[in-house]
Amino acid sequence: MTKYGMAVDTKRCTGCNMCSMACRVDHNLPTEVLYSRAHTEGGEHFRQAGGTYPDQVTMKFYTLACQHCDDPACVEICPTGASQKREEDGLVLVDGEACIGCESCIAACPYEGVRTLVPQSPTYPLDFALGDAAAAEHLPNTVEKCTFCAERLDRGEKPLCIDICPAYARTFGDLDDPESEISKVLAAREHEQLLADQGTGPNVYFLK
Amino acid sequence: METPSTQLTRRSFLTTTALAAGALAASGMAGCSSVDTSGDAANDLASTAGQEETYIGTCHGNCGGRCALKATVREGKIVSTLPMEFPNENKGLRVGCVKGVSNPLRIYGPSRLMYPMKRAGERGSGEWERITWDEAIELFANQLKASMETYGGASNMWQGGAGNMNGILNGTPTGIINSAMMPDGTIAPLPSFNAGFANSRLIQKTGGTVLSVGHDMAGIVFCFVHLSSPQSAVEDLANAKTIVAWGANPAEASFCRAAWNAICTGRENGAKLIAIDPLLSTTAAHADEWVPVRTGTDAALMCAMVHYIVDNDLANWDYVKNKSVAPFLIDEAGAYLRLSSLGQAEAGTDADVPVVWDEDAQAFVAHATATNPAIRGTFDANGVAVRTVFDAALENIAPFTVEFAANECGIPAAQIENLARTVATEGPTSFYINYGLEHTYESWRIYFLIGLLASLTGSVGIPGGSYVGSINLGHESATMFKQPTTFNEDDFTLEDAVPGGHFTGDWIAQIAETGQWAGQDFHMGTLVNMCANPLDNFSGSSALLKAYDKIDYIVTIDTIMTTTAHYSDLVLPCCMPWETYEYIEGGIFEQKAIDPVGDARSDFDIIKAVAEKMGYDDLIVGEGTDYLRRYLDTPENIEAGVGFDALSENGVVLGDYSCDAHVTPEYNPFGRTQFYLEYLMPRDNWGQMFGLQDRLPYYKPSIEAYADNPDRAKYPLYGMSSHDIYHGQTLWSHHPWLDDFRKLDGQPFCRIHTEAAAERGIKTSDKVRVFNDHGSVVLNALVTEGIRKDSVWVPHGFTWDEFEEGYAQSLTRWCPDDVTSNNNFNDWICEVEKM
Repeated sequence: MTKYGMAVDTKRCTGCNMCSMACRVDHNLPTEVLYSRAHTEGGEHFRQAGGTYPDQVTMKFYTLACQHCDDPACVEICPTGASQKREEDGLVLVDGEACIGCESCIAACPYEGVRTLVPQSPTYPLDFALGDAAAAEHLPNTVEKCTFCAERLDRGEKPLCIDICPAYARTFGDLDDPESEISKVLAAREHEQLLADQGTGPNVYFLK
Repeated sequence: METPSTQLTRRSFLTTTALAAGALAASGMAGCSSVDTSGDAANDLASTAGQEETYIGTCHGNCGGRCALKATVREGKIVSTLPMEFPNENKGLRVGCVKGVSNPLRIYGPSRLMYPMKRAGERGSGEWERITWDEAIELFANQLKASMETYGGASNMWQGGAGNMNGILNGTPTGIINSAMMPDGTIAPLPSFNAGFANSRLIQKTGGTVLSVGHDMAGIVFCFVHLSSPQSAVEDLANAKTIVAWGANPAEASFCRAAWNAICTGRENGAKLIAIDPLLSTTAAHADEWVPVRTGTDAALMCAMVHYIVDNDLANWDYVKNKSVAPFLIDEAGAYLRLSSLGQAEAGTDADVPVVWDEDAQAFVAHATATNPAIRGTFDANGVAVRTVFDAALENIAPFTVEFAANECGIPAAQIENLARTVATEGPTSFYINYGLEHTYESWRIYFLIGLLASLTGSVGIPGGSYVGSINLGHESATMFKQPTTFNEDDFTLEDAVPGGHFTGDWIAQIAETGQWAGQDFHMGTLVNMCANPLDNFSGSSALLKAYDKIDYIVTIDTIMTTTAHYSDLVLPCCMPWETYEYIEGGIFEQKAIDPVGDARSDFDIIKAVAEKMGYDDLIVGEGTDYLRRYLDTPENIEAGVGFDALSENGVVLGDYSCDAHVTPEYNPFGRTQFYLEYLMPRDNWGQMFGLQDRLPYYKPSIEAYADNPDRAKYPLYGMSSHDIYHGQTLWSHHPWLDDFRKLDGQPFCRIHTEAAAERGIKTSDKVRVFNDHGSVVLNALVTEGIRKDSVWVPHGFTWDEFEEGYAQSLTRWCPDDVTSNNNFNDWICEVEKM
């Protein structure tokens, strides 16, 4: 069985948001929807340093999207079964046809901001579809989030954000395979996770 | 958590909750444009899947880089612009950025200029009248002609810039050394670099004036011309043990975007990263040490480090003696003692090399053959007293001690000493330098100090040792793509060229005051802004705007209504990448993917039409691609597989790339690292001469941003801006998806330290005004610990209309220097008040 996961090297990540933007364009996201973005650890705002000037200033970057958890809170709470975890590879997905837009999953998910409700009348920056032709249609009043680029995985490719990162900070692969790139990277580097104590079993790791 | 017992259907849910159809408001994210965003067409992919074409190009992001991007076209629209894939292992050279992948929003953005317009009200009123291209070309041509006939060809001024990546067809001519003094005392304009085919020819035909750029010129002229600094491959950064990012932010802003990867690899191999910057940049946030130097005082810091290394005997004396100009001997006027002075060679020949005092031979010996050159001492050469350059350099910087620098730079003495010790003893050291340290008046002086520091630490031409980072790092394209090596540039030079003018465009502010240039009367008839946006991107914007009052007619060719376009008389829409063909230095042939949006035309086509209207039917004949074919189709290029056909069909031709971390030794005639010059050639010559003190390492405080400036009573804070990943000059303005990252609560923001903010009652997200005698801007405040307490940072890359009031560039002082005519973006002081 495959279990997909992702690792982000915080010694390389510069919070440039290329992953966020490439994902946004490639999936032809409505203006109101964002699957992934870089955050700052330090200050409250993006690119705001914390600590004390001059020797104890801190500003670290990490990216945040769906963690494709082992025990997803979204799957547990979903009243229609739209929120699902794929057995064959662990991807957590939302079946747009079954989603009723109740936003329970948004409330249940500990990772704020990774899921967004597509509004009743979504808007787009341009009057034609952008990005990957295989990108899914966006159904109004449904919840969307990172899918680990399921359409690309189907083609034997990696998620776009993995390939695209100019700092080569992102690794993706089968966490259940000790020979995979990601397993090796996790074995070699100290790492941590976000909100691990919430108990959902996230599958995104941050290399320290 | 319980599983809901009832199975809600969509319909039943909607009627039982407040979320009735249509009741949902759009969330507060980036606003809608005026483009149809109903979603119907934007959400329909199924019908067009499978009918896609791809085209290679670069995004003209004006970040200095040139990433090869692949545009995907569906139904005649560019839907995607992702970095090109490479089949071979490229070890981190494939880059691209957040801007590049969002090109479709820029190309089709609602701010795009769609048709020619002429001013309908006062300049800057924002009142425009749409006109046809025929009318526009006629206005343009008639203006050039009238000004030529009344005031002479030089009255037509062509301001160049980097907006089109200095492309062969659509770029602009520009120069590094723009004029020279002839033996008879007259000032002669010098030719420009060959870019911007059509306008180069028209300028020469009409005897126009080329206005070269001033930005980054202190660095460019000193590194590329005066000191001939050697260029390392970007991969070599991975070999360093100490990397000093100085006035540089490689994590975000580098001509060679792959530098960050190389630095990360170096750090993974144990290298230490030090960032010297008034702002906690992304690089500084990652660095092992942040040295928050005060803007414009970097040279003082270097002087202090030099003293510490010398006084504590930490120098690589072998390098200093044998591979730098330290042992060269100069007389009172600063001329090198050469073999001819000793009667051992004919003056002016290649054989007449500088000599050194050889301690072994106890005689003056040609420097290349000396075995033990003296680097200290004064000697008698046939009655002429000469001393070593090293002595002269140390004497010149004697006052700028560690104690002086601690006070001037605002850095503790212990930190300065530790920094000096580190670079000297924990090498190989790469001084990764970018233009951030040359943005104050006369900051060109720092390049002598960089050369001296490099010599003292032996950071030259060895794996991991280099000293002119970003400016001289190879573009990633240069090592991955096969490069054409020869070009047919005949068409760039007119046989019947009429002599015209050539100087740095920033001097129009002086001409506006004096009516003269280089001692001659000069009438500013026409200003054509091509690939340039002076009012938003040059420094001294307010002074330039004032100078516009003295220019009869202003034409701006651009893609959006920049601040410069806003104050123009005629605005012409030009192409964005993928809308026309182009060849960019670096082996990238930009393929045309779509027709230009609206009624935009390529710069080449615009100027060709103007030339024809002026009656020069034979000046520019045929299409741009005809010229590109002649330019590229040399026998060498064709044989190497990088002629016009190969490049135009493929965009780029991949080379046999292997991780080449090559290092380059000094290649100047002496083969030695230079930190002294016998002659200092100004970029714009009006007869100025430079004394010895100006040709040696030295430190001079900024012209406005200096500590004892009495104006600091009203403007106590030092101002600065910098480039980050979310802007590329103003080429990415008016872009809502980038705004999501670079605005705070929907507004541009400034960065101010917690204490300075508290003193002024300012909290994050407050609206503030930053102001000084030059201008002002209203924006939001981001209060942070990541900046010096005495400094404030404002953004660079927004146009005037993106601010609620004023604009950031108006704060900058007009102060080009008389050596490099540099743009000094960070030489200003200001106050900040809560609104």
